[in-house]
Amino acid sequence: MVAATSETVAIGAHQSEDRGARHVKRRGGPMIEHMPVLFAAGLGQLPETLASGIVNGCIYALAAISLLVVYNVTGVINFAVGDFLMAGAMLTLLFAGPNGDPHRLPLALAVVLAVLIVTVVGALLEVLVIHPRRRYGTIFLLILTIGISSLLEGGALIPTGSLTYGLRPFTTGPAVSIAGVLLPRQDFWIVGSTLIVMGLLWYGATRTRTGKALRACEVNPTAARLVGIRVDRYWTIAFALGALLAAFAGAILVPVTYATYNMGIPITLKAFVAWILGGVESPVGAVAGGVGFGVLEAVVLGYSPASVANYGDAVPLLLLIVVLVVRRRGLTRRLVVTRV
Amino acid sequence: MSASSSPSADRPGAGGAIRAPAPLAGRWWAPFAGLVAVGAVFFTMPQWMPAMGFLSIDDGVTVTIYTMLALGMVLVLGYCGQLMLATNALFGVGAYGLAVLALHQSLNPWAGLVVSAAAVAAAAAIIGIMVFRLTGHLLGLVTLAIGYIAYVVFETSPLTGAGTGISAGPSLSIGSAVFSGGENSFFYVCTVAALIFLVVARNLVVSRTGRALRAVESNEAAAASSGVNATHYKVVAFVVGAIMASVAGSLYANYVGVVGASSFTILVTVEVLLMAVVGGLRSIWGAPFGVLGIVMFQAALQTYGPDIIHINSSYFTTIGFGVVLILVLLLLPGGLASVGKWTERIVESQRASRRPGLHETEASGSTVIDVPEPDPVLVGASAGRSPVRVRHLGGERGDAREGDPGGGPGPEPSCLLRAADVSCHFDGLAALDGVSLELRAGEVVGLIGPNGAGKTTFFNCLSGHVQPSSGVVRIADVDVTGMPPYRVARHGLARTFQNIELFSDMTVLENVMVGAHLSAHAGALSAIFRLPRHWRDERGLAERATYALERVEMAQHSSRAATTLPYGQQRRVEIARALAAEPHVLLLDEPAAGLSAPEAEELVELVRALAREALGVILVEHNMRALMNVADRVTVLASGRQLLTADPDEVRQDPVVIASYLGSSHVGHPARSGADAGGAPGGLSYLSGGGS
Repeated sequence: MVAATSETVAIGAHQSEDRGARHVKRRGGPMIEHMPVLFAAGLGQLPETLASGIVNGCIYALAAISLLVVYNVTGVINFAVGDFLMAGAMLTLLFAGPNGDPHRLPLALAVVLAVLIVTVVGALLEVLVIHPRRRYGTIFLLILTIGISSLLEGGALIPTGSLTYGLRPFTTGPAVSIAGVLLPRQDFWIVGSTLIVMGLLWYGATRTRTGKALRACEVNPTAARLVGIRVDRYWTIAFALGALLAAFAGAILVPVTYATYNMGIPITLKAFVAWILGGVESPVGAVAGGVGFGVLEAVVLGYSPASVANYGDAVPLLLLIVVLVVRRRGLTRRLVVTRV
Repeated sequence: MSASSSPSADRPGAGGAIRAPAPLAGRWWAPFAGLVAVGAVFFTMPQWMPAMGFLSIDDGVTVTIYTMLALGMVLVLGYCGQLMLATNALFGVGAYGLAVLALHQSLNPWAGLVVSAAAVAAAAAIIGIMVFRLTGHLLGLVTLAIGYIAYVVFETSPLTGAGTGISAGPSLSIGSAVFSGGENSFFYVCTVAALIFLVVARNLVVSRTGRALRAVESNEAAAASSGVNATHYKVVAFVVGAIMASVAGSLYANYVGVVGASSFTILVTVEVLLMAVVGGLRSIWGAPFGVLGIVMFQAALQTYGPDIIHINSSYFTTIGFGVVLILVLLLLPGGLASVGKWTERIVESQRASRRPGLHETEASGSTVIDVPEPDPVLVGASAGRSPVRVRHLGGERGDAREGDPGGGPGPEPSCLLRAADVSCHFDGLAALDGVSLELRAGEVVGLIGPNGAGKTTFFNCLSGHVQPSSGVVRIADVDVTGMPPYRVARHGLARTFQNIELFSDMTVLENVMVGAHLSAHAGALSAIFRLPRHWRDERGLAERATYALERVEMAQHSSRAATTLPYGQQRRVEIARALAAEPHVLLLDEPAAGLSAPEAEELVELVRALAREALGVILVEHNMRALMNVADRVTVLASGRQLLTADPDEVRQDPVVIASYLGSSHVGHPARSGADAGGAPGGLSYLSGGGS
């Protein structure tokens, strides 16, 4: 097992075109796409597989929460969530420098700046694009977010071309060995910061005025309006928060994956699976769905024959369809029922 | 026929005597004009495109192929409201299907095209049945996942050449004429195919099927109560769209020669969505122009882009698409088609000022064609008039009732609807708790109760819009408990809704024709090929709808857009829509809400007339005067429980009822009854009937 020390890498020459970033490709640590053929890995690698699943799952969980926040407050499914994530990753790369260029910004500042910018962009897009048409139907708004997705993707494509980029881990050093299981250091960053963000979200939602108002908009917009909450403003806040969460996920993800302009759509789809698995309304469910889906994906791809594993993302996404068809009843409460 | 004393016996032969309405005639030439316009633009592309400087005939082929894809999107998303984002998958299967069949089975490309289209159609039907139970955005993401999976499979599977692509095999040919990729002849093949699909789409949309699609798009619950099986129509639209996409794919394979996965990315779907939005999602004729616009935009960007910005200009396509999509949705949500409609409206309004038969309507600015006065004999029991001849609208389904023992208005009229012990719980909250009700032919049952008593929930349980938690609902001895609304409708139940649920973007007549949906059978094929059955059914439906409109005195408004009518008239249209179904059981949910006193009076007359025709009517109404006047029996609900069922006089005097309505302090006042109670002081006049 190669330790995840890999000095900062810029895979500038790595042309990806349409093939780029089909799934969260990990560099270092257990590499999913290079998982050996049919159980050849043996069970010895199961802990690593699980760990990588949990780490990817944290990313899905953050993106799923982003979807959930936006949906619960506004009823809009933010198709651009993966692209906000991509933007967070790309901006972090831009500020921190793919080569670890000493003249660039310190990593922490780069992350903060990237997340901040994406958050502002999210809020702006809500004000300029979503808001004028917020009375239109959900499908109309979803198509608008597809437009936003194209906008962000195209915005990233122009400066980056179709190249893939990587970033050094937040802390360099050999992979940490816990009970014989080698864990790349970035994994700790991802899991740890996801936990912190979840904690902050929980605190914000239950203990702060803004959080309570957001939840009020979610439960009953009309009543919220009647008690003086400016629901419209909370649409903007929800989008900004959604963009923030996605961008943060992108920033902590970029050291373990390659970033390309078109990495967003697969992540959007997987975040969506995680969200649905978690039951649409519950943040705890979204986290569980994210981690569960991450582990499932890692195990399925890690332990299926190469002829199946080659299909990468297609395999877990097939699960989405199965889940939706099977779990239809469970979803009826908010998403499926049309009221008379 | 069994010995029947049903009053429907004397009805004239199926609509034969009713004056045929003219609204379908309209501007018969409009579709031909559209076809000629699109055809003229398309067929001359080899001439004008190179002349533009930045376009070539290759762009012409792209336009025709994407037109087919965009038409599918317009059908499924625009007309049926279903966000299907798997266009790239269907397109790809069509292309790879042709190539693989040519490669492995040495199949003739035409046969390959047909076989692929058939396979795609079958797959679309199966996928459609699976996923169309999902709505809106869920569907969008699931189908996008399908599109994504398809792309990954195209790129990875050895069958499809795993990334390097496979040859499409021999070119299409007819006899000695070979249509190969780069030549004009191939372009004409594509153009003809695109125009054929244009006609197919247009014919499908302007038909019984098309109305059902639009009804589903506009209001699925109301469509279902007219007997429209939403899933069926969604699948029909999807299958037609899928066939178009598959044929487009096969032609594309022939055009490029080597089929590679990069032509079938998600971006293709987004592009097609963009083109459909630019053309106008609700416009068949807009689609080709939307495609043309985007292709020209893209070509111009690629030709002139590098001169302005010195980067690889193809990088600008994605952001350009995003910008255009957002701008069109924000500034011109109707797409290019709305520009067409504006011009049309201007032309119409100028013409209207000159011609006496047409006049502007105040609400919408749309034009109305005057319908001559209806023939009084045939109008029969119109509201507010004494019926010249009582006749039942009843069609074929009248037999079911006539077969019942003791059918007809004998001493013991048949029981049309029987609800036994119906309960309905939402999250443990009992909205309905053991409500039972029987409705006989010719009877009007009133349903009253304070707000939140469960009246509408009860209606929803009867009509299938809500599944009762327990209890049984029978219509003419058929257990309909738990049936979806469109199947309940087949057993002769029709309803109106508390909040008017008309289909927007449809005329009054079209709305009511959807109501008569079940009386005809013409399907998608009759519509597409304009078979005689299509014309026969269209005529029959229009006649029926016109008759129903005449009964509520709305026939003169039949060509108005339904949702632009004043509130009271919308209520009447909704009643007409329910009547057009020729139901046995009619559920009216607050039909008099928003009506003036004389209008409410007319409504009462209409309900009485219907009851005389052996319909069973259940009426939820807050206008007590109207209700007490017309109801044979009244059931009182409070907090989901049935307080009592009795005749109106008893109900008026029942202390429990008075208490539940007015609070206990009013109990003890003697209830006043009779026809002279109007304007009586004291709270109880609220419950008293009469007045004139």
